[in-house]
Amino acid sequence: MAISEGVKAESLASVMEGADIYLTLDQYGKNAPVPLRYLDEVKKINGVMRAVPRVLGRTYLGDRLAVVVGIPAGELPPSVECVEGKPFSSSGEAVIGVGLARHFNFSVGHAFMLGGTKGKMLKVTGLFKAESSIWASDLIFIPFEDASEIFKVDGLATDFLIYTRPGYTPAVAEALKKIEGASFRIQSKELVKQYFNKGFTLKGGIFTALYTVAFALAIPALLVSSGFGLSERRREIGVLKATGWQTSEVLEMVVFENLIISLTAAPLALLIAFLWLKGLNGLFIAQFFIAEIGLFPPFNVPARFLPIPAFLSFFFSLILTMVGSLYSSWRAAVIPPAEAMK
Amino acid sequence: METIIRTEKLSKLYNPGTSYEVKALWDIDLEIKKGHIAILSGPSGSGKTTLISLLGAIDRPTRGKVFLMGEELTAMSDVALSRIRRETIGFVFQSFNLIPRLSALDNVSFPLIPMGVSVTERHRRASELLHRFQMGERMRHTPEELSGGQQQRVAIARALINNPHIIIADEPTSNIDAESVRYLIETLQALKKEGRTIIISTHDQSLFNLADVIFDVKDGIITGMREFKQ
Repeated sequence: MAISEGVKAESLASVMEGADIYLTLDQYGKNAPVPLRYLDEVKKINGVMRAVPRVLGRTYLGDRLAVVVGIPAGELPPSVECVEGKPFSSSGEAVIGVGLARHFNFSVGHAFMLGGTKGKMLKVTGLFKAESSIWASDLIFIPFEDASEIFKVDGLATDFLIYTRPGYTPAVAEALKKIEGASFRIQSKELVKQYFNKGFTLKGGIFTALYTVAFALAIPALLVSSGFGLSERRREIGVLKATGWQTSEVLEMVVFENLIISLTAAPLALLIAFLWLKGLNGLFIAQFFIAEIGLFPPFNVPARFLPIPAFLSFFFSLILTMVGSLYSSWRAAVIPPAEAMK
Repeated sequence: METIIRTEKLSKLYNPGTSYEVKALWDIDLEIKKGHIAILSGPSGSGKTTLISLLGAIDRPTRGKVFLMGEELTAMSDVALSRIRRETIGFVFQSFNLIPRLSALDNVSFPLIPMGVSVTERHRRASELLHRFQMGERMRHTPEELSGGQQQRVAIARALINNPHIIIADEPTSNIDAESVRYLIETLQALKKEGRTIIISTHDQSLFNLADVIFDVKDGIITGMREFKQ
């Protein structure tokens, strides 16, 4: 849950830093590349500060699937800060994320070739580190023209990033709708934010579903291990009853015991999660939440520890231990003590 | 002398109505007087433990009645039976049934927990009893750190913690050495002097000298009764 929340927070931070409007063509309700011929017309709309064409694609760099962003020189997003070298200024140059650079042992001046580019060499001019560790890790920024050539989308952009003056976004969106000859798909920052939220809610839902299955399986497992399987516990309850404890008092003690166990188990679980994420960087487990990162995450796995999941970890451990022990304890307490002690 | 326990046609069947039915006890009628030491004697498997469990209100009969100080135990609810076990009866089990993870002190004091007695008072009373049975130096030890005889002393102390009228001991000499048996005999005599009623199931004849009455049990029925003037 901490990873899920961390990824969500980073994603939303990226969206908030991004363009005010993302413009693509609408093809049967899906995003389609937008012809560059519309760029000048977009730039002329009142309220538009900047319109940046972008080509996005994925290709292999060695054994790693990398995200390639083709963008005009000088238009790198502000969050992309070169920690070594400088941004690219002409064709054949590239700026790559530190995660990727570390993986391939690249440094400034290194030349490389992307998979399927038939001899197109790119030279590293800078290494960048963005606030968002996930997206920065496998990202390569190259000049727009090089990306068009690599992905064979001459005269097209995956999308236009439109930056507007404050408060002008709705008016610009209206103006974009009126451009003749094109059916645009106009996605504002707010809309993208909603997509992210919905997407993560969906992912959260899948996680919750898996958690529920594990939870449901844990209940019978606990019943077997803590109740029916352990005659020692049954014997103890028999002794308590034989010495004058009432059934309600036995159950009261079991509830109290479980409360103590849960209060101990929940902080322990949180501590283990914290150490696993911060110390071991989500080794092994992060791959279930972030696609394609493998056993050893190549970047700092984002994680946030929020009060509600912390409370839930306590609550679920309490429910689990209660369900696991209350029923079996009750069964042992309602039979004659002599039978329970056998 | 006043009767403290009486049974009427007391029977206990295991798996009744099936082909595996076992008549553990059949039509037992007995009376035990207040302040007496009563011994249930018989070979293994004769039904002594079943009978003593019914007299101690830790098991329920298939049919018949048990009266304790005039009150019918067999008609009581689970809550009422717990109250009887708490206030009137102290049980010493054959295998002692101490809780392994608790110290001798806690094993003796835990019956007081549901009575709302404070920890300090619980420990004071338990410590007093353990000292009485020469277990003062061992009261922080867990059962596995104690010998059979020492475990039995802890079990006797636990049986006495609520100051019960009746002490019931199931085969008390079966898991202890000869010296511990001598100590047990002295303890039982001392408890009798305090006016407590003691019921013992045993086939150990060394205890017979203590008895006011011996009931011979065989194949689930009482085959004889011997009374002695102590």
